[in-house]
Amino acid sequence: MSFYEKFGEYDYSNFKKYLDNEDKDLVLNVLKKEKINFFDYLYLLSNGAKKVLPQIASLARELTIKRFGKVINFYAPIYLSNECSNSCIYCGFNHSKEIKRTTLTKDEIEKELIALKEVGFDSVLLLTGESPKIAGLDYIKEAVIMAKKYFTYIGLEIYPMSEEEYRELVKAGANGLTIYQETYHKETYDKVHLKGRKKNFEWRLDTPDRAFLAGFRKVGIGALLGLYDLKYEASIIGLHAEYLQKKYWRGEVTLSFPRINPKETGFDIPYSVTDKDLVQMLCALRIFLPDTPFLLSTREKPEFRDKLIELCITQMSAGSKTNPGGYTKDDAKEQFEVSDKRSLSEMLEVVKNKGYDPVLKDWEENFLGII
Amino acid sequence: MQDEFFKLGGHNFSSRLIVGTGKFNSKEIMVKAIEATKTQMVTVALRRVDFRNPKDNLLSYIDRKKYIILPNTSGAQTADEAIRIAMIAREAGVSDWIKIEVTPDPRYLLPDGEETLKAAQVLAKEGFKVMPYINADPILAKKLEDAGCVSVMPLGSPIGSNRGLKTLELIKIIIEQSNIPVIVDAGIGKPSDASEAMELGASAVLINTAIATAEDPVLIAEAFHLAVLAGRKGFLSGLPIEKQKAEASSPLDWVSKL
Repeated sequence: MSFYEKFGEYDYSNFKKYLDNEDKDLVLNVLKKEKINFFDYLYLLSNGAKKVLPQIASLARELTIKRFGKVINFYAPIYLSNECSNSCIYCGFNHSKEIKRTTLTKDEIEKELIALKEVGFDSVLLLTGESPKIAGLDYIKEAVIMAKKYFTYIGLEIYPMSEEEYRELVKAGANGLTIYQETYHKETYDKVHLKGRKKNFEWRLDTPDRAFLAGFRKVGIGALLGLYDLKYEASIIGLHAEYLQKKYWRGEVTLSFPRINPKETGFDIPYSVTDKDLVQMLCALRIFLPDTPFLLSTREKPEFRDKLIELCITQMSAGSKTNPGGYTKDDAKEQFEVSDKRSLSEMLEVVKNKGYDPVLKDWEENFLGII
Repeated sequence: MQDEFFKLGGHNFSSRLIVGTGKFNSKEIMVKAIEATKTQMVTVALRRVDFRNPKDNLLSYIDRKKYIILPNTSGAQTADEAIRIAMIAREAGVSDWIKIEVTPDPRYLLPDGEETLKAAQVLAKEGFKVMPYINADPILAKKLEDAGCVSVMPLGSPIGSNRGLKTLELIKIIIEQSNIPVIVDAGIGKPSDASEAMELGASAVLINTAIATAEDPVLIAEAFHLAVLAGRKGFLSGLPIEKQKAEASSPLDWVSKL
């Protein structure tokens, strides 16, 4: 059973009783359990839980340190192409926007890779929009093979492909794949994705399944926070992660929590997410999924990122450029505006000063795909 | 009773504590904590060693005159991966010791016995000093001994869980049957757990999370050093036997009259 089929079986109205809970004592009881179940997790997302957020945060922190130590892993993105045939109304690469479109040549990719490697990174995330004709499978495969010369860990954040196509990328050396559902709410999904292949909700929802089947060792999921009600999104993210972990037990699910940055596209955020909301969701997920790595991008502001280091995140990007060629020249349009512009070396100091150990290499080139 | 050296892979060790290098909040604290354990063997995840970048090389923090490096294959999901990683480490001059960790499940990091045995057979033949991390499975322990491993390393409870010796009964059997050192690895959360393992007759213990994530890693490192010594001395003393049900029983009254 794929996640799409499972998704059809959930009745969200059954979740409401827990999510609408106002009683903080029920939440405190959850915190006493050794292992919580999905409904306990829903209690942690409730308004009642907001009243005892410090206690929840304290447990989330404790569980994170126990599982991961005081350690932060670093990675950086390289945007290969901002060509995109989709029309997502919140995105800077939206097809209908008149921006300068760039797809890096082989030579330019090499330069970006070298520039990023010189900064000190060993883990890289390669990104494209959705343009199979201009930046498709062969193009991405070439980029993976080139990246492998310089980086131990190669993650991809690209458009949904078939299992067979993904398998080729795994063979080429890619280790991880990130694919955000954007929103798990079908009606909202239909409203914000106006055209292009991305209109297919089901195809996207089953992408993590295909990715694990193709042999990726790590698959990152998440929702673009702000498109729909956070409690709903958080509920389904929890289910999705749990489903994937149980089914693809050799794989590692990772989570990211991108909040829409209002400045980027003039997009009016329908369900804006406060810092408090985001912290509550992060902590609830940490308690529900204590072994899951949490990633944090440079979308968030420096002061807030610094605080989250000590809460429950385990991996951060730094010094990111979100436009193709951004590390070597700087003229193409960015996907989103980077809020935290600090360099890797500055971030290493920040992490150290907080009493955490920054880690650059935490992968082995001989780790193959899942067989 | 005077304690003998702990013989492992042709070396004599006076310390029976092996220490891991993961999860420390700084390299400086790691170095101090390792010192405080008085260990002679330190295990390092090869995935964390960057031969290409001396600045991020975990190995460069460890004084190789003082400590034997025990590289481990943490993160490997198959025998093949573990074998390749071990070979590369040896070629790079890291060590011919290898701690095999084959953990296909990234959450509990439990060892895959089947794949571990395959890797151990190959690496032992290749001349490595093989120390496999295993479930507390007495049969697997014997097979690994037959394969030529220099020790077996059964877990006390899942790695990083700090839950102590949950596999106690099986560890006792492994110790009883083994002709090679049994080193209890994973799950030891408190100094008293380490003492318990040593009292049972384990040859040594390996500790990482309990030291690295303690409020004061250096202090607990020293506590573990002492706990291992205490447990070992307890074992050597021939611990007093707990009182069993040994009262004379009436159906056997006649025995005393013989």
